[in-house]
Amino acid sequence: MLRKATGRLTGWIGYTWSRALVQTPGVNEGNTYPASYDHPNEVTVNVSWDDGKQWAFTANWIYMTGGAITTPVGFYYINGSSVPLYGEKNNDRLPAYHRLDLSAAFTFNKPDNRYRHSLAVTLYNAYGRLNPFSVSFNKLMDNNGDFVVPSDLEGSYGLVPTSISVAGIIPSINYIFRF
Amino acid sequence: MRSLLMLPVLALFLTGCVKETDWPLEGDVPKDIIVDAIITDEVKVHKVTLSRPVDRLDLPSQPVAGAAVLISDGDSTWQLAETLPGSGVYYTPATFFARLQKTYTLLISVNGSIYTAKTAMMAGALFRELTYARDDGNGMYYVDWVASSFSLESAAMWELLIDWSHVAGYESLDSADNHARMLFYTLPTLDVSEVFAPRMGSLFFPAGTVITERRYSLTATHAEFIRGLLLETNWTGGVFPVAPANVGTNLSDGARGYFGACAVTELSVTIEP
Repeated sequence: MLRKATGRLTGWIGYTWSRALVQTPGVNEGNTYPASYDHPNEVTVNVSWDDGKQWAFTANWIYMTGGAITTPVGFYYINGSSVPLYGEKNNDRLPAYHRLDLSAAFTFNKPDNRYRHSLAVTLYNAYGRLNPFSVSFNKLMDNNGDFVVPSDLEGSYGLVPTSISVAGIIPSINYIFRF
Repeated sequence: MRSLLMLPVLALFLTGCVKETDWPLEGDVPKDIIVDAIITDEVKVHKVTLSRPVDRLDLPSQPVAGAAVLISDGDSTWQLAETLPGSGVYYTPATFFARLQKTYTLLISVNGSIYTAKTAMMAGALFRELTYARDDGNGMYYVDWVASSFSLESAAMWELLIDWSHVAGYESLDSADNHARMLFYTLPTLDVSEVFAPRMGSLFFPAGTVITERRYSLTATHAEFIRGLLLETNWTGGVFPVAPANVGTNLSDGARGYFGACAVTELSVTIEP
């Protein structure tokens, strides 16, 4: 880890390599498999700037290998439905996860005041990265451009793999009063 | 207060994004045999479909041809015939029907391997007909309600065969454009994945459409199989994903799918304007 802890500009860069492997009797034929929270590579960059008076800015960037997931090795059909067929547990990985969080804080009071209050504006996932948390293989695109599960089991399909991500940019405003 | 706290969480999910992705599959496809077989108490030709998995989404199934397929109830045995050679679809004689209080055994012999399954049938039941409604946007109709999705005592599968091929203006369309088939279920379980399942596509049809509504009785094990099937098909891909797992089976020796016996009750509904 590299770190700068003094001055107006501070920050650190960290890298972690780790593995989380699981062996559970009766699961994956007793063989070891990567846990869903297994992220072998993780990088964190944190930069802060404080003018020493009223303004403080922080940027935090995180990158990690995508979590392990189980995806099908093939498909079969039962009563008109396309059914995924799985091989080894957690045989696949989601795309790499990364995001940038930014915050700017303004302190209203002077440093020696008994009461302190500040306003912070934060952007979580500032560049709107869509980090998927799951992948599925059961949807088609309807006439409105939405991905839906087919209702007509006799219709000609056009199933496509789809990923689901939670919201892109999440802004927030916090007012903090300390006494 | 708790519901207020849930609002931001729900808002996050609502702003979640579903998008198409390019996802090459990893790993080799097992050559498991897939059995899709439901026999009923109706006197008719019943079919057993044998196939193998495919290695890509939306590929047509690979039929298992040349198998010997038998159904036995302990007293009688019926041999099924692959009427169209190479199709992987095996048909019973037209006089075949399943009875209550009998246990049926399916026996499949293919390429030197033998697969078996046993099943029994629950009694059928009369039911209230579905309801439908008119969509103000396009003036067409859609199925509004079929049955409760939960019942501890009376699990069932509902098949809707929807036909508007005789309605003026729709006669000359391809069969796929004037027929549809939908399935609904009443199960003795209630899953989070079911409650937060991804949206199903809309299906509209004109006034004059005839819907044949068929209720299939389900045993507890058949209902459990269907629950597993739905967890991997209709209910997956929502905001609360569950750990993926292969669907259970009542077939032996590594075969997949299900051999079920159902009592069928049926009624017909004509969509009135």
